[in-house]
Amino acid sequence: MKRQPKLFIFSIVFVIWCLQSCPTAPDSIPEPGTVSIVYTNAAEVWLRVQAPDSTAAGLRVYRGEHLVADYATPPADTVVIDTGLTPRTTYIYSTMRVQSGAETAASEPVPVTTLPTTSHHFTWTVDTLGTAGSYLRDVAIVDEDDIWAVGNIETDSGRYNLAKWNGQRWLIEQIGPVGNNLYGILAFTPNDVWVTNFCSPYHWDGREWTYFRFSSAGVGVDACAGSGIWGPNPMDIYFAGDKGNIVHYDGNTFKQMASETTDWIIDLFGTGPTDVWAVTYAEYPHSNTVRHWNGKLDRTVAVQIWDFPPVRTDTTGGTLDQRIRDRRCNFSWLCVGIHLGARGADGSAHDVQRSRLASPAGG
Amino acid sequence: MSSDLGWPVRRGAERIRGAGPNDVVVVSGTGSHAAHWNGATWVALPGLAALDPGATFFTMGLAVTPETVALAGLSDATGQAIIYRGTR
Repeated sequence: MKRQPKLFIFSIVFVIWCLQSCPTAPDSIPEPGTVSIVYTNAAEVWLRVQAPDSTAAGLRVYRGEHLVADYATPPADTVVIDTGLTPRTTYIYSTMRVQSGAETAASEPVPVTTLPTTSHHFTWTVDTLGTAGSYLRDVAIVDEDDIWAVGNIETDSGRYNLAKWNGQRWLIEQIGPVGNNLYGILAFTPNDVWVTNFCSPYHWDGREWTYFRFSSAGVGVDACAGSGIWGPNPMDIYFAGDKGNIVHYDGNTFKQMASETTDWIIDLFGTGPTDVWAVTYAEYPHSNTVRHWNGKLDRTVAVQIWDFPPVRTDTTGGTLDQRIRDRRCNFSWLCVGIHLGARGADGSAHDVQRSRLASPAGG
Repeated sequence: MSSDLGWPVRRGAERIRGAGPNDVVVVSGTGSHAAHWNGATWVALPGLAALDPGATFFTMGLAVTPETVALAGLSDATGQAIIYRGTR
């Protein structure tokens, strides 16, 4: 009986000591982050960084041993832009989780090589075609000795709508009836060329031109879609035009696509089957919109809308992939196009800015 | 990053095309102004403007390949069709 109070007191002391000093089980190691390459050019790398358990630990992004980004509470999924890089250089990116000040849980390293720069130096030649009243609306290059242009070429012998550079001189001809105004041209090879009038295309197969009239009585597509033409390959071509019409050609059939706009689609361009951009124009109210179709959606998504001025950015919905694409401004040229369009109304001097549509998180 | 290239722009006629992320050309609507993105920097292409000191060229079409650039449009001065061919 005398020993029980001592045991009780000892137990209390031990428990108090243990609460302060006993070794505890280590915190669970956080899941490593992941890093993947979204885009690169000669001087920048865009990284998609993901932290699967973003509240559990911090996250650092490294280029080699150089710290690129440091998040105490990392976003679950974000884009980091590493700038000031050297062209044609390989860098290794990785992430480390940070817990109680210590780095742990390294990601798999990801190598990326920046692109080489291309030459700024061009030797220019200027060629003049036709007499007064002539103009060219679009041009396509097969190679430096095979260049095609469409428009209106007035000559003493008549009017023409196509000019072809054969390495020696320009040859002019007429496609369709006189007065057939051509708006766009897309050339894959010398024997696979598309041109469009305002509503419908013609195709050159190396022997003859074939007219595909977009109407219910023609190819079964009742749409005026000839202002813009673009495609990554002969089996994947887009035609666009008035009232938001977009027609897709898969190499065999034409099919009208939903475009979510009734504006006039002026121009099309893209970088691949899942990355098609369109510039549209609405007269009332006076505005232009850049639209993007990523191939995964069944509709286009307006990513940037502007008036004259100011620039107004539309917040995009869609998937993260979509938002990343929007931010990276695929291949940079669209970003510039947006900026030009936004600032060009007053005819004043302006910037060319390789801008981002939105400030990337963490960027 | 931005570069002030300082050229006048006529709305609705600007064109931009590229042969890749490191090879992009942008042209003004009028005045034969063009700039090239080589993947790292924008550089105005003075040789083009030098061919058109009166700034009368109106660009309507642009095409870019790794070897060649072509601008198509018209001359505001003569009303004739114009094509610039740039080779590297």
